[in-house]
Amino acid sequence: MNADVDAKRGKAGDPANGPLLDDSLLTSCVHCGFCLEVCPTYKLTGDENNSPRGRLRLWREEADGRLPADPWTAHYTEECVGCLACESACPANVPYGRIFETVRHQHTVAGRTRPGALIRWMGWLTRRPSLFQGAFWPARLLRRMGCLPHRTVFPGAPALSLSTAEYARQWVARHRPTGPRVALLTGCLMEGLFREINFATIRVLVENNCRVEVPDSQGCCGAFHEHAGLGGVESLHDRNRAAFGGERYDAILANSSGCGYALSKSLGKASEKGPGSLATGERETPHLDGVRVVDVLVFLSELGPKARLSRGEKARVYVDLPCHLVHGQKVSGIPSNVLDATGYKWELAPLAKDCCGSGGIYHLERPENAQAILRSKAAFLNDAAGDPLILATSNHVCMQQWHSARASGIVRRPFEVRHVIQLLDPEPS
Amino acid sequence: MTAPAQLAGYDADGIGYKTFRPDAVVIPGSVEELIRVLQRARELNVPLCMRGAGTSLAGGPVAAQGGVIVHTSALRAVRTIDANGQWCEVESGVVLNQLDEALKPHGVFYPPDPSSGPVCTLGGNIAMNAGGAHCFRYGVTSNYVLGVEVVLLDGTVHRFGGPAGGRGTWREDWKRLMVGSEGTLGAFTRFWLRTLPRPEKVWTFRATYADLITAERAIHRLVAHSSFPVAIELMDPRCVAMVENSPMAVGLPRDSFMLLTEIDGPPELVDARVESVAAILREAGSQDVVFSDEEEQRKKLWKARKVAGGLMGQLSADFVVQDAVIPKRALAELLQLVYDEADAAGLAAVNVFHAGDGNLHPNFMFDSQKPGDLEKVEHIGKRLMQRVVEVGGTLSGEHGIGNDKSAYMPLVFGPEMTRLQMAVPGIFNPQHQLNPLKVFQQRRFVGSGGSGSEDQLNSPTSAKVTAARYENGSKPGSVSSGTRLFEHFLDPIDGVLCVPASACAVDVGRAIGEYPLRFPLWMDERATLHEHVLASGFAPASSRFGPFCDNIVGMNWRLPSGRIVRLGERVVKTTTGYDLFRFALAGGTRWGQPIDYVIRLRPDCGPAGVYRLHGSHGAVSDAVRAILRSCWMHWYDSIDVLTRTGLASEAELRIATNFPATESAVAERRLERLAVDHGLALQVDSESVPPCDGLPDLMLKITPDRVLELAREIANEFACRTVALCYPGVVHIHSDDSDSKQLQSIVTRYESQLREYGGDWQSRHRGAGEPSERESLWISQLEQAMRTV
Repeated sequence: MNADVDAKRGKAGDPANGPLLDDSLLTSCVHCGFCLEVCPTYKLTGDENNSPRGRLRLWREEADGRLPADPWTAHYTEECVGCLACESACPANVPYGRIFETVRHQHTVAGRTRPGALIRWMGWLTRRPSLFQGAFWPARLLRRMGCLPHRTVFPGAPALSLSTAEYARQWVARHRPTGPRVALLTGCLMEGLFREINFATIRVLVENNCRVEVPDSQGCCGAFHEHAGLGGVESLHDRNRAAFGGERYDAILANSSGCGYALSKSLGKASEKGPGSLATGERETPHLDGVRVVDVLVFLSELGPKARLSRGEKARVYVDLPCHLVHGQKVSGIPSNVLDATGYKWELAPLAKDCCGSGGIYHLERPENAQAILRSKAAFLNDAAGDPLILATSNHVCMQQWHSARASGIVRRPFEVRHVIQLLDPEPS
Repeated sequence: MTAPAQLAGYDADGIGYKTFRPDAVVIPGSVEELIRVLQRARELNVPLCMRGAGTSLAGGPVAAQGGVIVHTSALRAVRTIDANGQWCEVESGVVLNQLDEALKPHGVFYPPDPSSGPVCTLGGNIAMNAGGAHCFRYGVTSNYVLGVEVVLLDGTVHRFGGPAGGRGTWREDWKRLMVGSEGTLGAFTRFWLRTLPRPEKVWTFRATYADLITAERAIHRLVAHSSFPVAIELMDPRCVAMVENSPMAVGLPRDSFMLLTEIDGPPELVDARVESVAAILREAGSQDVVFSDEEEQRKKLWKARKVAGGLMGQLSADFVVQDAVIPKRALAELLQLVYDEADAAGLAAVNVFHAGDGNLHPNFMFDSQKPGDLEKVEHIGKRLMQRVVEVGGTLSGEHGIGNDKSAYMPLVFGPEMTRLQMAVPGIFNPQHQLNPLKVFQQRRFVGSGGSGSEDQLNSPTSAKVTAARYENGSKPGSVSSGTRLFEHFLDPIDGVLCVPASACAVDVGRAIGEYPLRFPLWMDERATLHEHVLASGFAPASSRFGPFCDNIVGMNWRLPSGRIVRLGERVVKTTTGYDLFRFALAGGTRWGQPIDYVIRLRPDCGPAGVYRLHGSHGAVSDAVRAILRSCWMHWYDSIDVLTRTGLASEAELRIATNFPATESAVAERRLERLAVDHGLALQVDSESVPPCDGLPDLMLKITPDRVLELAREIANEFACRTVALCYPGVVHIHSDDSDSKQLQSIVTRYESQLREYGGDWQSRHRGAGEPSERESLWISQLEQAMRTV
C-alpha cells in the first residue's frame, strides 16, 4: 500500500518560495468536497476558494506552475483559521494541516504575507522565555488587580514572580506524590499571563498522585510561529526534544490543546510515519523516546481523577471542545469521567466540535471573521440555564476568544470562562 | 470574482481531474441578486452554470464552455417545516444534512440520501435527481419533490407546484421536467419537499458470500421479501480486498462479496422481522451473518462500505465512477465485463453499489497525468455503457449525465428521440446559455448572434454523426431509437411487468401468474390502468407506494403525430435525460396516448388485511393525525377516510395492510390500541383482493393536513361520497350526478384554494383549464417539436 501511495505523481514546488512541499500531499485531495461544510470560513463566506478544497486547488495550481503567484491565493491562505476540522471530515486523509503550515511559511518567506509588527515582536519574544515572562509581568499585575488590559483577557489571579516550575517543586515536596512521573509543558502565554491555570494543573496532578516536574530548559512549542508562518520552528522543537527527552518520564503533558498539539508534532516526529500512514485515519499517539505526549485531561481520565463535591443543581458548565484537541490530537473529546469529577452538572455546548474562531492568533489577525464565527456558537449562552453560568474548555486561546463574546456583545449576560482543570482544582484560589 | 486565483477553486466538481475554468464566479446573496445575474448574463451573452457544493460525479456544475459560475451557497434557509402537512420549504443552497438536522426535532425526514449528504445541496440533488443507499425502498428525489421555484433566463420567477405537490396554477406539470434537468432549464431558488415520519428503529445486517451466485440469491430473495429492506448494498471481492489490505480493515474474508441490508420501522414490527431477514442471508449461503440495532455496532457494519470511496482516493491519483442501472439478471455478465476490460487495460477496478436497484458503481482507478490512462478509462466506459443499454439498462441512476457521460447519450436516444429531448431546453433555454454542453453534447451555446439548437442538430458534428458511430459499433438495430420500444415482458427478479395500457387488474394478475408479486395500487376491476391514470393518478395504496407515475417506470407512447416512441426505462431509477415520461403521463391524453406501460411490482406477502374504524369525524381526524406522526410506512398500504352521503358527521377510517400472518397480529394489536385511544369501533376483514371504491369522478390534491376537512366539507355540502387518501392529501369524489354540473361547482369553489397550496384537480369527465398566455407558448413549442418526430 505504501508503494501505491508513494507512486502518486509528484513535483516539487518552487524552492525559491521557501521550504519544499512534498507534492504527493497536494495531489492526495480527490476533490470530493466533504470539507466544505465543516470549514468555518466557507460557511462564513460561501466562497469555495475559502474552503480546504479550494485552497488545496489554488496551492496545487501554483505548485504546478499553472497559476502565477496571486495575492488572492495569499488572501485565502491567510483566511484559514487552521482549525483542522477538514482533516476529520476528509475521507482521503489529506494532511491539510501539514500542507497549510508549509504554504503559510512559504508565503511569509516570499513576502506574500507580512505578519504585523506585534506578531513579529511576539515571535521574537517567545524565543526568549525569561524575557517573555518578564515582559508580561505588568500584564499579570494588572490581571491580579482586576484590570483587564484587553477584551480577550479573562479575569484571574496569576502569581507575579513565582514560576510554575518553582511552584511544582514546592508543591511536590509538600505532598510527596508517589505515582507516575510526568513532565508539564507550561506554555508561553499560559505562563506569562494565565499562570494560575498552570498552578491549578500542578495541584490537580499532585492530588492525583503524580510526580509532576516542569523542565526548566523547555521553551515555546512553536505553535505561535506555525500560526504566524514564521520560520525557525525547528530550533524550538530541538530545544523541547532536549528538555523532555531521555525516558525520564512516564508521560509528557500539556494543559493547552494548541500547545499540546504542537508539542506532539515536534516530539512525535521520530515516530511519525510518511505518507504511508495517510490511510490509518487515526493518528498514533506521538512519542518521544517511547514516552507519550498527551493532554493532561486525557491523562487524568486514565488515572480516574479525584472528584470534587457536587456543586449543586443551579450551577451549569457548558463544555466546548478545542479544535486542536479533537481535530489536531484526534482525541474524541474532553473525557466524560474528568467532567463528571468536577462536581458540576455539565453538558456539551451546542456546536461543541465547531471552531470558536480563536485559531491561535487568528482572533487577533482576523478579528471580524473570528467574531462572526464565534457568534453562531456563543449566542446560546444568552438563554442557557445555569447560575453561575460557566463555559469550560481546555485551551487558553479558546478561553480568550469565548471571553471576548461579552465585550463584543454576542453574550449579553455575565458568564465565567474556565479551564476544565480549574474546575478540578482541590484548592481554588 | 474574476481574479485567476478566485476562479481556480471553481474549475472542477467531484471529478477533480477534469477542469474547466470559468471567466467569473458570482455568489448571489439573495434571490433578487440571482435574478439580476441571470438578466445581466443574458444581456452580456455569456454562458451561465449553477453550482451548489460541487460534489457532482458527472461534470454537472462546471463551466464547460467558460462563462459565469453562479454559486448558491448563500441561499441556505430552511424556510418552513410543516410536520402535519408532511412538507418543508427550503432554498436551493440548503445542505442535505442541514435539512436533516432541521427536520429531526419535528420527527420527520427527507429520505433521499446520497453519500455526499454532509455537503451536497438540495439544488444539486434536484438537478441530478439524486438517489442514495436507501432509495431502494424509499425512492429517489423525483418521488419527493412537491414543487420547484425557478428563475428563467429572462429573470421571470415561476413556481411549479407547491406544498400540495400538484401542478399549481399551470395546466401542465412542469416540475416534472425541472427535476433531473441538470441546471439546463433555469436557476432553482426554492423547493417544496415531501417528508415522512422518521424511522423509529433500524436493524443493519452484514453477510459475506463466497461467490456471486450465492450473493445474488440473497439479493433476489431480499428484494421479494415481506420485510421490505430499505437498502441492499453489495461490495465485490476486489473492493473487499482493498478495504482489508488497508489499515481500515474490518476483518472480512478477502475473496468474498459483502452484502449489507437494513430494515427500519416501528420497534415491534422490525423486531418481528429480524430473524426472517437473517434466515434469508444464511440460507442463501452465508456462514457469516452479523446484525445489530445498536447505533455504534451498526456504524461498524457500515464501515467497510463507507470507507471504500476515501480509500480509492488514497490509493489512486484519480478515479472515475460509472452509474449504470441494469436489469439485475445481467449483473454477473456486467461485472465480468468490468473485470475483463479493466484487466486488459491494466487498471484497478472495484465495485461497490446499490444491488437492490441494479444500480452499478464500478470505480476505475487511474492517473490522469499518465499518457493513455484517461483514454483507456473512456474506452472502457463506452464498452460498458454500450452493453448496459443492450441489456435494457440506462446510463445513470442517480449521478446524472453532465458533460462526463453525455458522449454515451446517443446509445439511448437516437436522432429523433434526441430532437424530442432537446425540445425541453428548447422551451426554456433555447440558446443553451444555461449550463451548455451538459446532458447532450450538441447543447453548445453560440450566443444570441448565432443560431439556436436546430442548426446545432443539423451541423456536421451533431448527434447524428455520433449516433451513427455507435450504431456501427454495436449489434445491428440494438440501440437505435426505433427498436428500443418495450415488448411485453415480466421480469420477476426486478419486479417489472410490461402490459398494454388497456390492461385491467385481472390482466395484470394473469401476467404475474404464480410469482408472489402484486401491482400495489388498488384498481377498479372494470377499469384499465390508463383509465386510472386519467381519472386520478392516485389510488388508496398511494399512501405507501405513491401515485401511478411512481409505479409506472416506462411506456410505449403514441405521439400526436402517430409515431410510437419509448419514454422512460424498464429499470426503477434513472437520471438519463429530461423526464418527459412523467410529464407526458401527467398530461393525460394531451401529449399522446399510451400503448404499453412498464409497471413496478411489489412483494405479495399474503391476503390484504382491511381494518375499519368507525366514529365521529373529529375522533377519526385525531386518529389519522396520530397514525401519520407514527412510523406507518412499512405497515399500512393505505390510510383512507370514507365519508358517506348525508352522514358527514360520521366517518370510516380504513387501513389496509399486506403482511404475512405473523405480522398481522402485531398490526392488529396496535390498531386495537388506536381504536381504544380514540373511541373508535374496530372491524377486521381479511380479503384476498382489496376493496374498491370505484373510479373517482373528481380528484382534488391538497396537503395531508387539510385533506380530511376538505373531504368532509364536500361530502356535507355537495352530498357526494368522498374518499380521502390521507398521506397523499388526495380527495376522491364519487358523484351520483351523471351530468358534471356538480363537479363543475366543486371545482369552481375550491380551485383557488388548491392552487394556493400548489395542488390541483383532475377529472375523467372534464378537461383541464385554459393555459395562460405564457404557458400556451411553451405548450405550442413542445407540440411543434413532437410533430417533427
